[in-house]
Amino acid sequence: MTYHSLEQVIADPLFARADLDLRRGRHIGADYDPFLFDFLTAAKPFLDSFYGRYEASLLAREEGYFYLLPDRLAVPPPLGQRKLTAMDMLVGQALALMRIDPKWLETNLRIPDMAVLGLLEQILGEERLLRFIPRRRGRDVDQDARKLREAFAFSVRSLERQCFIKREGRGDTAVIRPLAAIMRFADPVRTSGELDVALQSLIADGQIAEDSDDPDAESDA
Amino acid sequence: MGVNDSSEQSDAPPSVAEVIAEVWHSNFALNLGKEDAAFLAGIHAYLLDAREPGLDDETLRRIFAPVHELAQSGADSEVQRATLTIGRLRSQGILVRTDFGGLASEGEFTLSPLGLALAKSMEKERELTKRNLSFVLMHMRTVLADVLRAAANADSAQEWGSQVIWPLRDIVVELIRMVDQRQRGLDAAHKVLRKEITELVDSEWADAIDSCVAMIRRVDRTLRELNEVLSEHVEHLDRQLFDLAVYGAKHRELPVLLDRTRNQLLRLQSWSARRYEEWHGYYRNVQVFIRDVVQTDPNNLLRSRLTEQIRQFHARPYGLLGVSPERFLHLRDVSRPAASAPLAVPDELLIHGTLAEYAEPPPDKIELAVAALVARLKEEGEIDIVGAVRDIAPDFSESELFRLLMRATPVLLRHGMTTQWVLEQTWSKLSERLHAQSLDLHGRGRAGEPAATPLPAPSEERAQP
Repeated sequence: MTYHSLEQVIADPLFARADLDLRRGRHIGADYDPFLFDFLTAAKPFLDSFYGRYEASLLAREEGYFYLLPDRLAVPPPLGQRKLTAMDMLVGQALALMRIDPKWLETNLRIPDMAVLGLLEQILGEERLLRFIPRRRGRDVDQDARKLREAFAFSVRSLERQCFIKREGRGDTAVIRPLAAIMRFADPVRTSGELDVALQSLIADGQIAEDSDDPDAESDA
Repeated sequence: MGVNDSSEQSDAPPSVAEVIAEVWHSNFALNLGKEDAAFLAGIHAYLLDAREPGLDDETLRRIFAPVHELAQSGADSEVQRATLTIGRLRSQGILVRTDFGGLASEGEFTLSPLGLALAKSMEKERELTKRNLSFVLMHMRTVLADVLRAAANADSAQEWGSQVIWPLRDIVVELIRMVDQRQRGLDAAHKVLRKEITELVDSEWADAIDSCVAMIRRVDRTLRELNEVLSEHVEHLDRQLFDLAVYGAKHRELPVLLDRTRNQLLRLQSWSARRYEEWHGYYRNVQVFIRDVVQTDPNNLLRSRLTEQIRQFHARPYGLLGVSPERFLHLRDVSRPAASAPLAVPDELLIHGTLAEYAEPPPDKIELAVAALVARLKEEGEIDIVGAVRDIAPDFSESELFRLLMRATPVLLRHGMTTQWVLEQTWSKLSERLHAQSLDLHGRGRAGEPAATPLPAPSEERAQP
C-alpha cells in the first residue's frame, strides 16, 4: 500500500491499532505483527510529522522495529515518559545477549525463564544480582530466592507489555521468545568505543536516562 | 502369564518369575558400546547388499576401519581394536561363525538372530527419505486397492478375514509404523544437525555462513518434498478409505480399522506439516541471525561487550525511555484502605474460647434518626422525607445527612408508599454541596392491610386535571 497523504494514512483501519500500540509504549517489529510493521514502513514519512506535533519521534531501527520516543526537551512530554527499572534492564540485556547466542537458534529462540535467571547469576554472581531486588537486612535464602523470582516475573511481564518479548506456554514449560526490539538493550555496546561515551550519546538522544537523574522512576505496572 | 504364578503343569506358559529366574541363571548379558553398535550396523548394511550370506575376517576388518576412524580410540592400533570388538560381539552371541551347511569351505562370519534383531532395530531409526516414503505410500495404495476390490467381491467370512481385514489390520498398519519410525529417525537427525550448525557458527562465525545456509536449505528442501509426497498420497489413501467405508456394514471390524488407519495417516500428515513449519521457522531465524548478528558483527565482539555491560551495570545504572502508556482515569482519588487496628483480646477470653456476655452495641446517631423518621411516618400517616430530615437532624454534617438519606429512604419505603410515580421531583438544598429530591410518603397501615387511599394507576393519574 502506498500513501500520498496523512489523511490516507489515518483512513487506513490499521492506523488506529498502530497508533494505540505505539502510544502504549509498544515496539512494533515484523516478528510482533507483520501487518502493522508493513503499515508503519509505508506510512512513516507522514507519521513522522504527525507524532512530531506530540513532541515524539517515530523511530525505525535497523533490526526492523518501530517505537515512539518522547522528545528529550519536551517538558512534560505530551505522550508521557516511562523509564525501565534496573531489573527490567538486566533481564532485557540478558535476553539480548541470548538472542545473539547461536545456542538458542537450536530451540528457535525459545528460552526457558530459568535459563535467563541462570545467565544473570552466572555473569553477576548471586549476591550482586540480589542487590537489584528490595530485601531486608540479613540473609534468608528462601525469601531472597522467592523475591528474585517475583522481581524477574514482574520484569518479564513489563517487557512483554512493551513487546520486547513474547511469552509461550505456561507454568514450568513457559518460554520467552525475544523479539527484534530486544536489541535496543544492546545499544550502548554496538560500537567499540568507551561505554561511558556511548551512554552519554544515548542520553543526549533521549534514548536512555540514568537512574540518578530520576530516582522515582518506575516501570509501568 | 501371571507375575508370580508358578504353575505346576508342564504345558502351561511359564510365569514372569520363572522366565526371570531362568535368564538370570543362564548368565546372559549384553554389553554393547557405541563402537560395537556402529560396527554391528556396518556389518548388517554390508550383508544387505552382499551376494554371499556371510563375510570373512578380512572383510570384517575392512568394515571396522571407518568405526575406528570415528572412535579415535587411544593408543590401540586399528587391528587390535578390530580383534577386541569382533571378540566382544562373538562372546555375546551377536556375531557367529558358520559354514552354511558345508557351502563355505572356511567358517565365515554372519549375524546371529540376536545380532540381526539389534541391527534391524537400529536400521528402523534411520531417516525418512523422499524415496522410501514414496515407496511405502505407493505400496500402501496398492494394498488398499486390492482390499477395495476384495471387499466388493468377498462373500464368506474367510474371504473377508484374509483379503480385507488382515491386510488392513497388519500390512497397512505395519507400513504406517515404518513411516512413523523413520520420522523419529529424521527428527533425531535434524536435532543433531541443529547442534552441528550451532557449533559451527559458534566456532567459525562469519566463515560458517555458507555451509550453514547450505545445510539448512537442504533440510528445508527435503522436508518440503516429504510434505508434498505425504499430502499427495494421503489424499489418495483417504479417498480409498472413504470408498472402503461403504462396506462397513458387511463386517463389524471394518469401521474400527478404517478409523484407526485414517487417524494414523492424519497423524503422519500433521507431523510432516508441523516439522516443515518448524524447520522453516528455524531457517528464517538463522537467516535473521546471519543478517542481524553475524554480518553486522563479523568479529563476534558484541557478545563479550554485552556481557561486560551487564557486569558493569550496577556501577552506572540507566533505563531505556519510551512513551508512557495511557493510564486509566478514575472518577475519584483512590484512597488507601485504613490501616487495621489491633484488637486486644483478654487472655481469659482466649482460654474459654467463647464470649461470656454479649452486649449489643449502642445505636449510632444515624440509626436513631432513621428510627425517629419511621416513628413520625407512623404517627402522622405521611411524611416529606427531606423536610422531616431537616427537622430531625438540624445539626448533622453534610456527610451525615447524605448517609441518613441513603439509609432512611429504603426503610421508610417499607412503611409507606408514594403517589407521585415517576414525576420529576424538585431538588431541595440541604447544604452548599448536598441537594436532594424529596419524596412524599403515605403510611401503609398495619402489615397486610391495604393502603389507606387506593393509588391511581399511572394512566389515570395522567388523565386527572
